[in-house]
Amino acid sequence: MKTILMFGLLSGFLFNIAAFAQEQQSFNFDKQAIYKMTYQPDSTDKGSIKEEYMELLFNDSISLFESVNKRIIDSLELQETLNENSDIMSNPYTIFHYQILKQNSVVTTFDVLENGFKGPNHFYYIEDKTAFQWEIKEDTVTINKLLCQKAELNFANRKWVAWFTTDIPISDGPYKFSGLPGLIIKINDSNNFWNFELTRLEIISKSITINFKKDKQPVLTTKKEFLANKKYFTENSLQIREMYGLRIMAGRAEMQRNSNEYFRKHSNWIELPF
Amino acid sequence: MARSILIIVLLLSPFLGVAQNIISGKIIDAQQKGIENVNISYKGVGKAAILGFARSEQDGSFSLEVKNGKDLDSLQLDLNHLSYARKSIIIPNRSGNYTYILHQESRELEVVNIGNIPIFKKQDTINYNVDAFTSKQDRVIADIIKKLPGIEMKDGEILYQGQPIQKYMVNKLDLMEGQYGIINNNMPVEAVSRVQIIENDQPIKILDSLVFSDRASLNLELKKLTTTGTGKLGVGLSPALWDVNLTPMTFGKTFQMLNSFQTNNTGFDASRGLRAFYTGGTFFRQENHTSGPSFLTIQEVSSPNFAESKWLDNRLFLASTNILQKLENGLELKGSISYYNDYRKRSGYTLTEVFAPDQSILLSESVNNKYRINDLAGGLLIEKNEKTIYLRNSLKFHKRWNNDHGNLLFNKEETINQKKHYDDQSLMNNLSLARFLGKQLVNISSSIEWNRTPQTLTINPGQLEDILNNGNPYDQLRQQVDYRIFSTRNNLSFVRRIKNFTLSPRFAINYQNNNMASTIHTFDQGNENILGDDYVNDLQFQELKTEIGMDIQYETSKLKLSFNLPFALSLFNANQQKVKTLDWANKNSFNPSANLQYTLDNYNEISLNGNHTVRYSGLDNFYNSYIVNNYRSIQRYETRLLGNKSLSTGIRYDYRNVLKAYFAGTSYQYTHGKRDYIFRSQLDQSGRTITSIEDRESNNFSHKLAIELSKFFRSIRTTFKLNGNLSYGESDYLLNDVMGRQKFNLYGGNLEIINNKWDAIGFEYSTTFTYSESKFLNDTRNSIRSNNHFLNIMVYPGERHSLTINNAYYRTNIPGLKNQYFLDIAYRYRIEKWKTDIEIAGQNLLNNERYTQQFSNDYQLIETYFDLRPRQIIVSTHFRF
Repeated sequence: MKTILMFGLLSGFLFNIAAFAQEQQSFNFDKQAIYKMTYQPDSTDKGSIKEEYMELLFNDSISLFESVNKRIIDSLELQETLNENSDIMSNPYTIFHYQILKQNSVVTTFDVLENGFKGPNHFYYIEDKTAFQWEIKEDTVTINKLLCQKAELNFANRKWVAWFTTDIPISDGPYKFSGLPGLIIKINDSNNFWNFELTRLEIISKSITINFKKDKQPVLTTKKEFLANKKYFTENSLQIREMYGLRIMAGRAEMQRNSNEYFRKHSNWIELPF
Repeated sequence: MARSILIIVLLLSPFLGVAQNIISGKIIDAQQKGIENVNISYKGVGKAAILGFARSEQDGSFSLEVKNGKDLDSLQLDLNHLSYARKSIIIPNRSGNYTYILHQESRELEVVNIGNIPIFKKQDTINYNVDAFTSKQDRVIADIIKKLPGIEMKDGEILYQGQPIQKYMVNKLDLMEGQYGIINNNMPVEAVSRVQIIENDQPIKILDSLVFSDRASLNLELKKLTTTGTGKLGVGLSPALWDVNLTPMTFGKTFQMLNSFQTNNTGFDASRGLRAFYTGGTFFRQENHTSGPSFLTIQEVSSPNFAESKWLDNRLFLASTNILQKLENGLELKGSISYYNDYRKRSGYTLTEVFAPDQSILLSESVNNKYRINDLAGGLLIEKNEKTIYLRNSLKFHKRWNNDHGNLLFNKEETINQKKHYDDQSLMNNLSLARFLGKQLVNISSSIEWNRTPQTLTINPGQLEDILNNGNPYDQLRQQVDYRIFSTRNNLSFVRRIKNFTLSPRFAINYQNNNMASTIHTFDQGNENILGDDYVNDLQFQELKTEIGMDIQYETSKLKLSFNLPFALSLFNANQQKVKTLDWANKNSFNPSANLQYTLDNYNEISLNGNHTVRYSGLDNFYNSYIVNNYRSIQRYETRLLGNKSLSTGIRYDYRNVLKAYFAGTSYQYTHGKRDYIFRSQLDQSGRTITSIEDRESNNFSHKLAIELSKFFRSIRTTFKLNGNLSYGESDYLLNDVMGRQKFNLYGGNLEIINNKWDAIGFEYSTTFTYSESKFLNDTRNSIRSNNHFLNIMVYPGERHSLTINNAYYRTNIPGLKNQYFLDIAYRYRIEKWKTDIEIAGQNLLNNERYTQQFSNDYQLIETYFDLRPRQIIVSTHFRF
């Protein structure tokens, strides 16, 4: 009896998320939080630190987290598909192509795998919010007149320390982090390789469309497989280009070593593969 | 789901022996309806930090397990939701069930503003102060550039935000266009004040709104005028070898110069690196001078089809200068001048079997040739690159004079000396102009060229005596040819973009005037005889061609379609030896071509091509009096235009599964050609040929099928590639008045294995197999088989050391010949302190003397030996100054 109940609930759970799949969807958001993300792509080199601005858009039921630049690129490209005469003159750039949707207890991540000449491949995977087992600590601190409390988490092979405030009762935060009884103002991993800090929170009115490229519909996968494939492509980018027909006449070994070094210097991802 | 587990846990808790307080209940609104997503947290009364939390379900119910604060008597419960007023209640610290009502209140979200967010701007120019980025270890500007945000350096190529930069400038001037590595790796840090990155740069300003650019350009602002450079120095044995290269560069605010001086006798043809001018990108193409035709040759032996450095016996001296000067009115002047002198030697042996209809003739030739090449080139370029106009004019001068000397031993009994003198002078002007007229881009281009090619071939003893001297042997034969050409090509085109279409109609008028004069002199016992009518050419040939064409391109994300529809009308006029052989004969041609590329999905792509070409040629062969081309060949052709029609279609299919690292492709191409003429060869008993043109239709066709497969195995980091090709074809030929049909069959395959599993050692192995079979008239078949193996091993015993071992094994099916094995080894050591490296390279360590090859053409089977460079060892170093 119990198993039937469990099974029924499980399939209901899956059905819920299947409805939330790869078709084009539009959302209207009324709140926006902008986070400054500081990261160190090379774990051995403090000089490699870079920063980028990310945004968390929400309405009452769903939130979307992506790079500010990606939203600008998308809105320009979306406009181009609607109005064929416009040219894209400017091209903001980001290496973060993911879009993270959090709804109810489900986190859906849409991401892109750069895999060589034939253009990126689009994927998505789903995680459950119960994966985020927060441990609340007693420490408090005041950041910009907001009373924040500390919480800790083990996620994706990193230890994270978050500061959330119940003054803003939005149970959300940057990247995939959510589920605390208040908005996460700041979160970073124990080595401070990845750091998110809230810089702005305001009321806005924005309409966002995702998955609007008809020829690039995302394919369902799992997080484990996605990260493993990402590692495979970046580590072996030279081999893959050779398979496409790149012919290296001389100095191939040196190119290989450069490629290996490049990978080493950019392997400190936010979620470390298993 | 959570609720079910909770019920189970609650039911089981007495058995689990867990004594936790559970605070549960329901949160409702004024209408008794449950409120979802209310944040419920508990803490010590009046304290700041919360001890735990939960969220209310869809129906408003919640359950909170009190894990912390067990020692507290009372707890403060906070109920928080954005759309409702906050509520705090004090409850006793024990299990209980509560219902709370929340009152709606729109909570103003306080705007939080911490720090500034940069505004994205279009077409940013970002300036980086070099001093701020320099550290002690940085010597050259490349060390700084790779640190800049957004910049990656991949194997010397600079990428900005993932895309290669399109221009590398110094003081806003582009001297080297694309070969910026030489500047990047040698410009000292101290000379540069700022590095600028110009995003979304469209260097051709007039194309700014027509062709958008997602690339960036890089500019170095120098502090003052500076001279710097690189060099290479190498010496070796055997015999005495040298390789020297010095390249100083000067950069000023409006003046830039790059000089190069090179000399070597190690088989490296440095003249290839000479590029007098840079193109204005692929959008505006300009004509390039090609050498005047060469009618005369000394007998050669075919060179091997592998690296020149293994067989080219040279002695080269080369000097060149490139200068750029920017004027105040925005005009850019670029000038260049170069000269090189090369002395080359070639020797070898050729055995030719000629299949005439009634017999087969065997010829053996031992060849020993020396070539002296001189080449002088200069040019001046003016460029104006503004938003409203693009102007580019280049004037080039080129003079090449060669003296070739060939010493030939014919059929092991007769020594024949050949001397060829070839002189090529040309002057060429190219003009390109682009402007906008309304919404279309109008492009005018015009080129004018004058070219003169006087050439002489002197042979002793005299040859072809049966034709030239009534069968009597004589001392010397001299063939002279003087060829002049004047040509002009003018083109007007429009480019317009409408939605997904790009349309460009174009019009062209080309005119060409050729003059060719040739004479044959024979010398015998001091007497000179100039041969008469049949051996004297005095040709004037004119061609006027008008062309109207349309290029259409259609592009969507999945489909790329292009059509090229040119229609041309040509008028030909010819006078040969004062006889009018063509009186403005007109020919028209329509040469459509189409190309389609369709991407089915992420894995599959298909492409189709087709074209039909009608071509009238014959200018080069338009002489109806004899010309001796080499010691055993004399030619003359009927006075006629040669009509060639060809049809070619093909299809290609590619499958790419990048995740599985598996690629496959297959292609098929069919070509069919029809000619309204055929070349007729006449052979005499000694294998000498006379070639002429016959008024007979001839045709040929070929089928070609190719397959490629490759797979990358992750665990062993090795790539396997397999290629196969298969072709079959037939073509008509005419030999000694008998029409024949040559049929050929060709199979080939290639396997390659590339391994990169370890950092310290890697290898590449490949093997090639080809089999070709030609069937001639009387069913003679010639089959040639070859099978070659190559193995390259790279070892890195340490950070600074690298060792490369190249092995090549050539198998032959020539009976009686041994297979050949070549070995080269190179060792390099990097000296960090001086930013140089030292290399010791050994080539042809087994001292193989010659390379053997075999191949066949229309009716001959040729076997050649080519003398290679002997074993050599060179020590060299690179340096910077």
